[in-house]
Amino acid sequence: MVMTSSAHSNSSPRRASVEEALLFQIASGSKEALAQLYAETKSAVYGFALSILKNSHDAEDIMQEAYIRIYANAHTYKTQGKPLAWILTIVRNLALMKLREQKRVTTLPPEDWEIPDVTHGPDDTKLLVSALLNRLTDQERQIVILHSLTALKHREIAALLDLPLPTVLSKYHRALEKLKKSMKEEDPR
Amino acid sequence: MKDRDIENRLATYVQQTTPDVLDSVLQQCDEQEGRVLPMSSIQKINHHPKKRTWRIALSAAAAVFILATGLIMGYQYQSLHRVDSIVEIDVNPSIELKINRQEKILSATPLNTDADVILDGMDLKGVDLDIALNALIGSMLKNGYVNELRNSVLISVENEDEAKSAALSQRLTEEVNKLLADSSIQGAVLSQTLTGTEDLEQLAQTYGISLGKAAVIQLLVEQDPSLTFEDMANLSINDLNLLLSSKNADLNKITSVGDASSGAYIGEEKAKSIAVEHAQVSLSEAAFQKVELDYEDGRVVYEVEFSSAGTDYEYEIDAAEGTVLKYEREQKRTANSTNSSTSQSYIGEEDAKMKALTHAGLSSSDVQFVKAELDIDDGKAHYDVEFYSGTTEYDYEVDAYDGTILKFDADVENFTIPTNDSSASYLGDAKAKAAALQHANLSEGDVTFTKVKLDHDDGRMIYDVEFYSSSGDYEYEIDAFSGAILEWDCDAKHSGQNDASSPDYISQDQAKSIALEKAGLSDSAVTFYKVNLDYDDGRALYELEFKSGSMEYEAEIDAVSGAILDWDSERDDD
Repeated sequence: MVMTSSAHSNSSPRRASVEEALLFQIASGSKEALAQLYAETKSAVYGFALSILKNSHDAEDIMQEAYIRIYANAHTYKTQGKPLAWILTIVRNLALMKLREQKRVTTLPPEDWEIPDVTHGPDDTKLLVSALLNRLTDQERQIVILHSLTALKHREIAALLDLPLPTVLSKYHRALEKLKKSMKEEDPR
Repeated sequence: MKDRDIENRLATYVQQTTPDVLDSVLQQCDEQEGRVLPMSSIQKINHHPKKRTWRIALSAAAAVFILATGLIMGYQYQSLHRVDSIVEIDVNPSIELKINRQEKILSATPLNTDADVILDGMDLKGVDLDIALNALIGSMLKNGYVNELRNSVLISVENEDEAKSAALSQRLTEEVNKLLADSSIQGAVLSQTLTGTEDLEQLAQTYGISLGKAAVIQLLVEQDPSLTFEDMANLSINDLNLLLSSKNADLNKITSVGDASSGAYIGEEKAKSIAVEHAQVSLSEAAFQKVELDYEDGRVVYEVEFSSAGTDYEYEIDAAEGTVLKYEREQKRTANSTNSSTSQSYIGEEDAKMKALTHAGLSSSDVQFVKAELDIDDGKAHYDVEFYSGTTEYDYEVDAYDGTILKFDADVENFTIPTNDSSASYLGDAKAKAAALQHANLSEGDVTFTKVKLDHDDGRMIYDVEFYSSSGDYEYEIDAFSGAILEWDCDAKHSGQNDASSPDYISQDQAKSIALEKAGLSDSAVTFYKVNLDYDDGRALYELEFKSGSMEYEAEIDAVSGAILDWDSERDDD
């Protein structure tokens, strides 16, 4: 089998070609391919939705909707070597739509991202996530999440977020500085 | 904590908390089957997401059914659209072709920006592989990526059937050679088949290169650990091919046809003659031990080693420009041939230490020994002796038989270099320091020296002088003969040695209130994240970051004048 699956979602050329092949098969109605694509990309899709919506329930809803859209629209995907960017554009559009909808309906306090507990990993992961939520601007958070969870290049992230490349670069570096600093402050070691 | 660690932890966190919605998605896709999915239906799904629980119960059975029907229906389509082989073509442009069993192109993907140029405006989908290859090589020739100076092409084929991969890669090699020959170019084609590529994928991804190129680099790096993957990733296939042949690398699974062109470089003979000329040795008197293409500090170089009249020379020469980048000469132990033949006893570590100390003009009470040990190098025994005196480090090689100093290196104060005839005319550390201080307009009492070292640089002798004062870090390069300032750099960074801020500076609170005034906010309305005294471009400034509601502010304020140097505000919910 040329196509292999792995737990990591990323956009290496190799992976991109796998994802692209899966999209072709999804276009012909293969749910097996959809399940494979899901396994490849779920963390990136969820993480990106979360970084926009800052609410795990909303992110989960968008995640579901996104894969349903992917299934329905795979035939419209054009070969560009950027299947993950295509997928994440769908996620972004759905998430932004959701935000607009929320703004119309309610005036909820904007930042109520519930941070689910993690059982594994260092204790201060929660601190890091809370810094991600509270100290970064929306754009900074989205950039850091995309860069952490996918192998998208800054250039590709810039295209996805409709931002100029230098902006993405400076925001990315600033965001990491902020995160590092917040970890240092919390942890005097 | 490093950037990478932060990112890894965030990624791990998200991966661990990602919910599983697959069953629900498959279920809902099934409900939509056969219908166009209009926007409104997506909205509808959104209105009752809580139904997920019971759907999951149903879905396991449903999914099995769906998969079965999906596979049958999809078969016809898949035989045409299924990826049978992946072919990568690397020159410097890297292109990945996915082909089906009929060798029609399913997709052509540019893997780097050079490849964008090559693929620009080309639609290869559905085209026969041979025709596509012809078009791609043609475009590379036209765009100057392949020519007499750079004639190497790498073909990598991946197919689950090893025999099929091998056959395809051989056929493509012949095809590429023929295409190049048609343009009167003697090609050099590397080809390989790829299998079991998990590690490579990681590397290819990290460095943004093709899997095939990663495989070649891995082979090079394994055989010459002085090369780094990172450096190699920047080289073209032709350079990699040249390195492979120059290092006589074991090609393992790679098949090589034709010789890589070194036309872009000066060539081994030229490198040799440049080296001997620089050493003022005639070509006929030089016995060459090594002439090898190598990669150092971001450039392709020739490493040339030869000996003449009892002296060993090592040169590094820029392969493209022929300039001497580095050289070293080492006097062979002249008495070697007569002494070492007899079983003479070694002088011992203590004696070796004494010889080194005497040479350095120091007594054992002045110094702290780091190392004194016997070492055999090229069949010659010597003692490696290292010691410190104050902040100066000495490094000696002492002949193990007769105690002569074979080699030494020191970061020294008031040191003159004997043995070498021109040494007498070096300035000495004290004068070098004085020259730097004078240029910086500082006195010895104002500064702390961190380095004063005699060094070779670009073929001439210089003093590297580094020191810091309360106003910043200084670096000088001073001509070792004339004392002229060749290069200097002043980085007004906080050196960490005087943490107490100068009384001339405004206080942190003053800086804060300047920023608050500018923002039109009161202290109670904002949260400060950062108020730091920092040094940037030679001046002291406060860096502030604070937030009020959804607005974020960043300010840089001159620590002396209180002027706002940089101001940035941003709405957080954009």
